Amino acid sequence: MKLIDIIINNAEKGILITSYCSSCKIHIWPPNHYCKSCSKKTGFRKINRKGVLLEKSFSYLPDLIGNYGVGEFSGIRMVGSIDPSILPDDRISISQVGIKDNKLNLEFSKIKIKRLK
Amino acid sequence: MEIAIDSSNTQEFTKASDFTPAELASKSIIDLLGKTQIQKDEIDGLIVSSSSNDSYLGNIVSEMIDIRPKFSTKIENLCNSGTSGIMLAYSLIKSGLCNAVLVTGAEKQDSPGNKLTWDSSRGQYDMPIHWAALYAQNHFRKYGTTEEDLAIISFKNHANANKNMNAFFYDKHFTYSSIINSKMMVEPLKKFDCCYPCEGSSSILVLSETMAKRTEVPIWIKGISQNNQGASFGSISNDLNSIFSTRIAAREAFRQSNLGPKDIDIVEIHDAFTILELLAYEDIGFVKKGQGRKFIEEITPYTNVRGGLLGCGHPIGATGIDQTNEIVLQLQGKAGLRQKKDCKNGLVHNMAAAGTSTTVIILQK
Repeated sequence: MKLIDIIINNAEKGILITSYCSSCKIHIWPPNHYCKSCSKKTGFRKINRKGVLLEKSFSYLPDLIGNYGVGEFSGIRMVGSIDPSILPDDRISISQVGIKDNKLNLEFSKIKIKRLK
Repeated sequence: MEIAIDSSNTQEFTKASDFTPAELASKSIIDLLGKTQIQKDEIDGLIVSSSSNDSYLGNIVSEMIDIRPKFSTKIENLCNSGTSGIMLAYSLIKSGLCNAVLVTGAEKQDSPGNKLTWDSSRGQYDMPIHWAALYAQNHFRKYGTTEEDLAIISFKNHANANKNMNAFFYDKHFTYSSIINSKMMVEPLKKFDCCYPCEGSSSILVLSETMAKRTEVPIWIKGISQNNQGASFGSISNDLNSIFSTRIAAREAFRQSNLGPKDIDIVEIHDAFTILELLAYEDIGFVKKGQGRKFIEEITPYTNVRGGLLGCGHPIGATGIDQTNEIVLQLQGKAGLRQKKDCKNGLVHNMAAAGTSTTVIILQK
């Protein structure tokens, strides 16, 4: 099975994974059988869902109407739909993982900071 | 050994026709061969630039135009294919393997190169306008660029296309008002901030120094450089402030040529979206980062005189070659209605896929 198909199959179940090098302790994106740093064989591991929104916009294209943005999650950048209240540099999480038209369908939400009492 | 460009040809950019990519390419080559002093049997290299799925295009076109070159291939590098072909031709001649290499670009309107489906990190937002809009939003937020600034770029390039009979929008006249009020596509980019995929072909003949000296007005390649930052939108750079591949390629091309941005009289910029022209002003080095909007109405260097991708349309594999053709024609004094005065040095900027790769060529009369 192709690596991307494994990622898509997991995303269908709401799980976001990519290749991972246990020697270098880094996620590999785009997915690959071998680590781009040490060339050792990789496995799979979940992507850290917490990250930062780098930039956002609003799409008027049919079937995509709404806010979207690019976020960075442990060095991996992904594009997904966002809540309109999120601003660039906000801490975000990948709140929804799915598949639509055989492509990743991600949704990002703002991480609410809990203040100490 | 120096390398030069002699003749060039571009066919009219149109909507889809019944022509195949090979037929489009051969028509452009035949018209080019009609005006060069180089004989057909002296051509020892043929490179066909195209994102079409057609296999073995180099040899198919060779057979169609009846040449038997030492080297023939198809080259594909998305929107950056055309100048990648010129760079390969340059290398073949510089190495001594070839003396006269034809580079031809041909594309159908529905080219698979219009979208990079491989980049799964884009998710649902895989149309190129989505990454371009994020660059624009970033520039608006950090440097105060406005929709009006982008509309001026679009208006300028569409107006320039009205002097270029090969341009897709040659006979379409747009007012500034119609551009600024055009339909919003992805904020802040509107319909006329975006280029139009179309069909077309364009060819160029690259020559060794010895052969170039037999031609009337050879245009010398003084610098040629490419930089590649990967393929994913997510891999481009640490921020959205710059197109890094452009900065690196431009710096290297200037180093090779012993020229700087101030020496450039005329430039063809890859304006697939208006924001990319503005970013290129900064990343090539005409102005400092964030100052692009102040550069839009400068008179020199002349920018996108042929109409840019916005005014000409964007037949993927042919674009970089037509951009180069325009600078060649301008430096040769053969640009007709579009001719600008006193141009000695010109620059071509051709890029692909969210700025992941850029080629910069510096040409001199």
